[in-house]
Amino acid sequence: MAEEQNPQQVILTKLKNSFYNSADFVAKPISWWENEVAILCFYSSIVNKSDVERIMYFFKNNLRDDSLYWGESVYTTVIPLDEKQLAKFLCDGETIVVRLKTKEMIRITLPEMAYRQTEEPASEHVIQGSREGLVENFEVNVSLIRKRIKSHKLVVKQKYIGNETHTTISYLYMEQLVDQEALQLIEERLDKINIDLFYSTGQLADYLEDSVWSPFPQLLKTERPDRIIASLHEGKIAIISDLSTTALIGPTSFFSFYQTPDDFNGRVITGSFYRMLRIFSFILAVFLPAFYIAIVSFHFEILPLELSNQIKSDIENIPYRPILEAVILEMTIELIREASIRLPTAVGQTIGIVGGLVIGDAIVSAGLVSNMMVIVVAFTAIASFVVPSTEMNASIRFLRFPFMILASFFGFLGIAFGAIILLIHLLNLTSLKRPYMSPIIPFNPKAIHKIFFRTPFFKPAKHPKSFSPKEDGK
Amino acid sequence: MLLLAGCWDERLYKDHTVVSLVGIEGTLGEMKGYFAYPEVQTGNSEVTIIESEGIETRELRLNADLKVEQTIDLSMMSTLLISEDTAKDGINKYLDVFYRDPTNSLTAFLVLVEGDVKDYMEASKSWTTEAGEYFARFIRSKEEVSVVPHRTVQTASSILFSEGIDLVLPYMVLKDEDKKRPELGGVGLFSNGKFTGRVLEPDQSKFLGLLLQERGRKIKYSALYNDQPLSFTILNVGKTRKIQSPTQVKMDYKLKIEIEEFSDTGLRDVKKISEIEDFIEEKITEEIYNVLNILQEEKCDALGLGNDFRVKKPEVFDENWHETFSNLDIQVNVKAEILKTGLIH
Amino acid sequence: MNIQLTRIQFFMIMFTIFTGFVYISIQSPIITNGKHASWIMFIAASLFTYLLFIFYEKTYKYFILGTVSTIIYHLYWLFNLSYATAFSIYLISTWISPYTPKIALLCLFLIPSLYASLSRAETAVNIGVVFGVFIFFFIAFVSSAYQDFNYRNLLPTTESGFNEWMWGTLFSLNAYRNTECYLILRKYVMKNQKIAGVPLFLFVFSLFAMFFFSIVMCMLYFSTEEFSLISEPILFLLHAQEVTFVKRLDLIFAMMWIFITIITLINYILVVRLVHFKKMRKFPKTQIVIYHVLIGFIAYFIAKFEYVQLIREYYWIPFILFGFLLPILIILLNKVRGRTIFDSSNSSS
Repeated sequence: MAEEQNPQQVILTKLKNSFYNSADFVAKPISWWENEVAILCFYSSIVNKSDVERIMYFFKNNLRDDSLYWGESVYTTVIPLDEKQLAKFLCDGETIVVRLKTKEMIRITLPEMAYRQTEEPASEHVIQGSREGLVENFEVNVSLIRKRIKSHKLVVKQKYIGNETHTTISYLYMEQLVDQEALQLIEERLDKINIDLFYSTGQLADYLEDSVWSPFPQLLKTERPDRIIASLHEGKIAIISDLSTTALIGPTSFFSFYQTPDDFNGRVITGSFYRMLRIFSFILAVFLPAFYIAIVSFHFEILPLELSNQIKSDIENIPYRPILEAVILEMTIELIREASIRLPTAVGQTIGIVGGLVIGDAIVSAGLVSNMMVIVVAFTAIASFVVPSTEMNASIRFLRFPFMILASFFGFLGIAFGAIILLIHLLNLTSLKRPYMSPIIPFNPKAIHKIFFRTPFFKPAKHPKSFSPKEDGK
Repeated sequence: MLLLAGCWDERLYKDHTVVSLVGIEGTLGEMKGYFAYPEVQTGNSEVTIIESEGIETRELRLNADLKVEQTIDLSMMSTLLISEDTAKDGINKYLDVFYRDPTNSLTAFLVLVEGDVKDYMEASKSWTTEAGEYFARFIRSKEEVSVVPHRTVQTASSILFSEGIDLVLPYMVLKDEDKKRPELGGVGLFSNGKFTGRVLEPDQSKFLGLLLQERGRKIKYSALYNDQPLSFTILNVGKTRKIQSPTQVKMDYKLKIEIEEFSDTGLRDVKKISEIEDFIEEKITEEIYNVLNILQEEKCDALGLGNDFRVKKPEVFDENWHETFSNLDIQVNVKAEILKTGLIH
Repeated sequence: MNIQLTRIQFFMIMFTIFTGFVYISIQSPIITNGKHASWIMFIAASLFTYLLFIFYEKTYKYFILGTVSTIIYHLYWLFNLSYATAFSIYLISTWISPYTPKIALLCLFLIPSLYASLSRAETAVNIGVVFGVFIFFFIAFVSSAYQDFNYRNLLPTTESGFNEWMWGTLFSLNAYRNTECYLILRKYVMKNQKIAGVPLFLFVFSLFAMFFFSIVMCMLYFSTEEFSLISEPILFLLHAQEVTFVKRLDLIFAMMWIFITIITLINYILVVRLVHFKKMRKFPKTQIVIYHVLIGFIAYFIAKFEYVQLIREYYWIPFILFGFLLPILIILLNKVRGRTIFDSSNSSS
């Protein structure tokens, strides 16, 4: 039999070896038209086999290669044989038929990768409005967006990232509306990425952000298609990947982290009220514990007499200094939060009750911390969870620690010092080279009301634009 | 680091004793001070009083510090009791420490007391409210009805520094047998920063209140009209002052009045209203003249006429202003207008 | 270094530079010197300043700093900034933190300023925005004292003679002591933005309103004799207020004021940077660091009651000398020579 080994056997063995004999890799000779032998290869785990079979049947029976463009259809294309590309195509879930006679590859692009059905994003609940969320599938995601912007101006571009993983990244923007400089920047930065493994949008954010060491996220992460299209309409760029349900949106401003689709689904007045509440909660979440610490350890004379007596009797017998007291409690809350995320939902609730009620009560009656501190810390925690963006919410919870330490060293003076450093940092911060604090900086008096109020839809006759590139950010 | 943290200015609240009521008596060189603060014991607090001696106000506090396990802090002081003797010596020099230290409270009320300050401090033990807050509420409620004018450490100092106006302070007495309930004795008159020793009775002092006319205050007054009880509230006072000559001042008061009690049903008769108005005018004018006489006798320019003279007749306003004031010819013209009569005619 | 300012940004920087350090302490010297007529003197001084601004607006193109004048201004600015820092830390140590050592306070002041000065120029340009929030709070706080106002304090009397008028007006003018910054920053405003006329009037008026409000409020609240004792009447006024939830408003205000002072410092240093590095694209960071160390060094030595008080008494000079006489001299000189900033910037580039 050895001398009978024909070329197709050699190629088959070679092919199987180069795919390391993977169990789900299939390569076998088939007959193709008359007297012709072709090799069929695919990964059985990522190919829609029944559809491929049907297409091949149609090819064999109905087509001949003497007609023009005989191999082109919605799913198929014919290119000359290229062994390097062959591996790539197969990994993308294509089925390849190699015609040995003409050295051609017939690519049948019918992958069937596993993905979830679209469901409501868990991290961005809304009361009313769309409940669709992105999924881990590029086609579905784009279709969710296209369905909302039925315009040919919506452009989708693709890039491959990861030398090994070959992940598809796509960025979407509206032609003519898009911020050209930011688009260029994104393209440059995407091109520069050179890593082997690419598996999460967090990695992408690290490559795309202007300052990675800032506590503030400079790209908005969202799973909601309605949020994406609103951003696209403001000239922003959205980046989605095949791997994660999270889209990155940039350039973004600090205040867009405090907005949610709920504002626009609800009424004008209530929407504005909750928007203001959220901005206020930022101040509360960052400054309240520091403020309390500064008062009880530096400036207690600021309290009116009646209130001061209450606090005095409360903290009289606490063995620790206020900063330590606060840190104990803050850490408890962070621990409870962390524990309840990791555990299944049912157990998570139990942790909440045990942590919140049992520990909270016991820690006070044991005299480790004062009631006042429990109130302050709990209040702060609630205020910090108001932020619609989970990422921003983590940043804010982190931010209050430096302020607490400063307050315990210098009192109000320390808070003022910290606040100005924070302010300068926020001013320095850019998102894709656009000012992060827009529209406060650069100061745009006409847009400033948008931070606090949600204006009626019929009002803005002009196209909404979140940044005016000329003024700042050189 | 967190354990050791403690910076230069740290004042831990739990290490400070917050004093709400302070009393001083005696004169420079030989002073006594009293500091009342609540000692908290599981739920209920008990007032403790620290007594100290010293040569001046600041030293009182330093000496008092030696008797407490925590540091005494005056930032929450809501009332300062001053004995008559101290006030007669001129109170400005005793108050300096309260202005100078930024942590001190400038909104504390100043109260003159008759007799030993100690008695008033001891009395505070039997109250359920905070010692200093008791006095503060007491004074505040009396301010509402114009019996005493609004005088805190800050406003008093403003007046003490101004040459054209004199200070008046609430004056309290302790009359009841077991010495637990101080009551308002009236308003103590100052002349040139020193207490004159003269006190306006509460029913006189409300007319001083009328003359000073602070916003939002009501003045209640009762009299007998043809043997019928007549009570009324002065809702609003409009005033004009005219300096007619270096020795003559004319003051016009327009009062808006609400009748509170009048058992005669005659008010249905509209003509009678003007009669009652005339009666009220007469009555009030009389009271005002009484008060003015006392003020002039004591050379206490509580109305701040000096400030008017400084502006309009500067030649009269000089070092001897208080003498000039006592000889001024002050004319008062009261015009009353009944606006409301309550629910019934 | 080159920046482009919009009209709003320009006025914002000016506003902070003018009101920042000056605001807290300006009232006392005016009122002690001017007595009951101080507010009239202040109006007069403001009118004069408005005319000066109009003149500067017309002639700013002749304001070219030569080598000598640059050195003079640099020295003055260094002193002015050091004094402002010294005064601020002196104030903080009397009002808020009596036991914190000077060196720590200096660090708290200069580190943010250094951080901002090393950042993008846009940061310094835009930072004044927060000012607006504070003004709102400030007006609300101060107005809460209305019950203790004494309107007779405003009535002018004949006691204000020539002496009072002269000193009162001189110290009033001092409120506008940083006028030279207008001339320096003016050329960085975008060409298409209109400054002369209504915008300039609104700017000067809002400045005037800010100062005037504080002066009138202080005069209403305190008797004139008190001002010889009180050096920061605004703080004292707030100190004497008690709102239901806060007993010491002055602490809150002092905190805001620290904030504003640092912002002013940043903006002022921006002006210095613009003059010093005007011909360079990138600026050497070590020089900025050295400048801050220098400010800290001088401030450390003058932050004593004696020096602060001494300098305060002579602090009517800066306006007359550096805000008024010197700029006019430079402008006239260059007008005669016929040189404008547009020529010189062309020749240098």
